[in-house]
Amino acid sequence: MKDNYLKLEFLSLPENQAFARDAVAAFCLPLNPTLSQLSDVKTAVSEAVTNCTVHAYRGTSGIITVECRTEGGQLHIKIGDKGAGIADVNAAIQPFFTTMPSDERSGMGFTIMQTFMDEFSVQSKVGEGTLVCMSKRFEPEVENA
Amino acid sequence: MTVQGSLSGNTLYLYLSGEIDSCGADKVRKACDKLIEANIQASRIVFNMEKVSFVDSAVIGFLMGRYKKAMSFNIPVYIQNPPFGADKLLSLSGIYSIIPKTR
Repeated sequence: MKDNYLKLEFLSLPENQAFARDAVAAFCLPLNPTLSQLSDVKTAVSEAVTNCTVHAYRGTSGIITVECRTEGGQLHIKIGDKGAGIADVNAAIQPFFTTMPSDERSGMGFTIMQTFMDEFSVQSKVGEGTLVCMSKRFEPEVENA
Repeated sequence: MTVQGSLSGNTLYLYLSGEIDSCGADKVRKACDKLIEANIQASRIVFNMEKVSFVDSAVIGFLMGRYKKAMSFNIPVYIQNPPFGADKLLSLSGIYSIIPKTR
């Protein structure tokens, strides 16, 4: 299978969360993910895009970029914004860390991305934005002998 | 995402369906709280998740918020029939130690 590439740019509206995760799910279908793997990818994308909407562009709106690349049996995803940025990434990725407890935010977004994907990293600069990179490996297709 | 309530005996069933992300949770939060407030005679509340097609971490805050509301009336809360993906996320969060699964 040829490696593939997708780039999405969309406004940080809450209703675009579903669009973004469904688009990434559709993109990785040729890698023959199991339903469980597909669910993991959708959830991880939803977490990252929600962070952009809720935190990066809090009280305002901006562009969220989702880039996907398939390489061999791997899916690489980059989700970026040009929003507020995160002052302390190490603190932010701890389970239950939230800056908005009164809004029923669980603080589990980064933990879920880390757990559901095989590789995960966050780069961020206050005032410049945040980039989340995630990868997931899918078992190669087994050919019948 | 939608919610439908039904009182059966002493149990208030809240049937959740659709996609529970932060956008979906915002849509049904008030409706859920109204159903709880209108049924405080219930001895327990069960969130039936059989028809939930997707969840992200918004489901944790959503369930915890309704749990607090129910506990303000001393009504215990349970989760019923979470689909595989929801069950995985809820297990990871540790929420079952305060909102247990029920049959």
